[in-house]
Amino acid sequence: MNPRERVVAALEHKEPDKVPVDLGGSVSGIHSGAYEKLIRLLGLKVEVKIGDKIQQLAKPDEPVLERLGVDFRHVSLKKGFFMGGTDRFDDPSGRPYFIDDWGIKWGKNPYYYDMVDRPLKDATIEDLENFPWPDPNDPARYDGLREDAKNLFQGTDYAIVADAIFGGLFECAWWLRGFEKFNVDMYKRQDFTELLLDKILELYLGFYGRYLDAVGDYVQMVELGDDLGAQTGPIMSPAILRKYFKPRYKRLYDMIHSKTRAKVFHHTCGSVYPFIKELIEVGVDVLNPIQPLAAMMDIGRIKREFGHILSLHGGIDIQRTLPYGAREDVVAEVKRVIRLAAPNGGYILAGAHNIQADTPVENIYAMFETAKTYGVYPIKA
Amino acid sequence: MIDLERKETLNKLKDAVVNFDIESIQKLCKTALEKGIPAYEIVIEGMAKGMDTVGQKYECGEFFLSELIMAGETMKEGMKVIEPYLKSEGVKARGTIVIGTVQGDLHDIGKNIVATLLRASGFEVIDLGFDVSPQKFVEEVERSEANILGMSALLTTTMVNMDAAIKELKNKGLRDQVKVVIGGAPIDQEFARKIGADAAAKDAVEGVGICKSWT
Repeated sequence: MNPRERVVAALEHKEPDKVPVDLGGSVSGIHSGAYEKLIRLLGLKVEVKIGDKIQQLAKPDEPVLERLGVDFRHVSLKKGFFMGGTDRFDDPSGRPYFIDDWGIKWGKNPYYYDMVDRPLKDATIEDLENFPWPDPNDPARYDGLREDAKNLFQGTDYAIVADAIFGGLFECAWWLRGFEKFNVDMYKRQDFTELLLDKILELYLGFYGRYLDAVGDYVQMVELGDDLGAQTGPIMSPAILRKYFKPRYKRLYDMIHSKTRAKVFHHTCGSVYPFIKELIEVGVDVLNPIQPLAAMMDIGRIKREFGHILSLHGGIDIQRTLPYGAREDVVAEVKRVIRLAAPNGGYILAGAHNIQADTPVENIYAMFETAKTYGVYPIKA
Repeated sequence: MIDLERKETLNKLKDAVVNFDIESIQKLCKTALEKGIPAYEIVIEGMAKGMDTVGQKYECGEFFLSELIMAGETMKEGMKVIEPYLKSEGVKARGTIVIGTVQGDLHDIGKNIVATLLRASGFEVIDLGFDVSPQKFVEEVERSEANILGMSALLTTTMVNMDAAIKELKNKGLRDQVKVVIGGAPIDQEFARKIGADAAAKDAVEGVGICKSWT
């Protein structure tokens, strides 16, 4: 089987020849700090290129992807919503920062950029109407995208995946307003909340519409996300999810399904077990990352309950095992997850978020090697 | 004012926090003051009891993070009315805590929740914000004569600054005057032991419980 056939089979809940593997994008990538060590281990003379400024992720090079046996190749916007901004150095704190397309200020810390100021922190409903929303019709965002996707599709046998915009509906709303303030908005300013979310949804519909016009014929998976979970439980109550987000997710995912046969991938960190059924209802085909250490996110249980209609992507613990475990722990963990998640297809192996800078390179290599050797179907018990 | 009326008024305040009645809380606080209930009691026997209930519901999974925040914001509104009266009653805070996110770290949501819950429990909270240097923590502890220092970090790379802050406390001869509690995603008991912190809290509710046990 070639990689694309492997991925398509898995996403159709059939067993391919082996478990497909992913590395890349904004939620299954690798921090440049770890990537530097990896290319040295592999003896490659390439320069580290940053593909994601905020998370400081490396853009993996072709020889690395081939060596690790990665089945996906990622396409993304030429000009993302949150990539924009040249660093400025005039902040009183001395910390470098940039302002993105939404007007959010991102301050630099040793490993990433974090939000330090928000354009809608004092907004009224009138301010929402007058806000300079980013323009999804800017052709610079899509320039050359169709050709890139087509060349990958026709010139390689990899599975092609469309990377997410950074941030989902809930995320964008609180990134713009502030976490505590948007929380109060959801409970106490319903009109404001509905308008803000509608504005964001409108942008997403516009953006993903054009994105898929460009790449929809060529991709097998489309990534979106919205972090709904924390380590110990969901961030919001099910009632709030149903009130504000479920109908909007449905509109967005319906639109995407109408434009492409690719599977819809939804990323949410954290503990989201209570929401899985409803995410499936709104059209999610693939759930990522099934964060292993988050409460109630046992991949065996989720596979048993939902695996017949929901594919799982991710699953390999990057909070504890990958960075702090011995090599043997990593091997054991990869085998454990494959045993639980891979039977009957519907599982794509990847880190349960980006591989972090302090991860030993031997562990990274062991993860991908174990996937190659142990992930062969039929999976040994 | 008879005891029943007092209890009823305080219960209404408690319920207002549990039900996130941010629209009514200020009026309820004013009514309670007019009835002659001391400001301190309005906080501790009224609104703070509501936060306790919310904290319990959060710990058992009935309430979610969004509700914890909403309750905190509700109580904050009530505190705007009550605070001047606390001062004029000469009410001593239960304790004074200096809190902040460590140097190099810009994450503050968890720390903000802790600060709100601590104020709700009658602490004087001096919140230094984020990216706080060890020196700044210690200077403020000295200036305010705080009895607790609380530090938050979300990155394994920045949590080392908690160690630096504790060392700075020792350098200034202040270590014995404060209890140190630490929190944040990468923090655990082992790290707390290693750097000589007095406690590590796994979440905001536990952190507040620890501070209460010390005062």
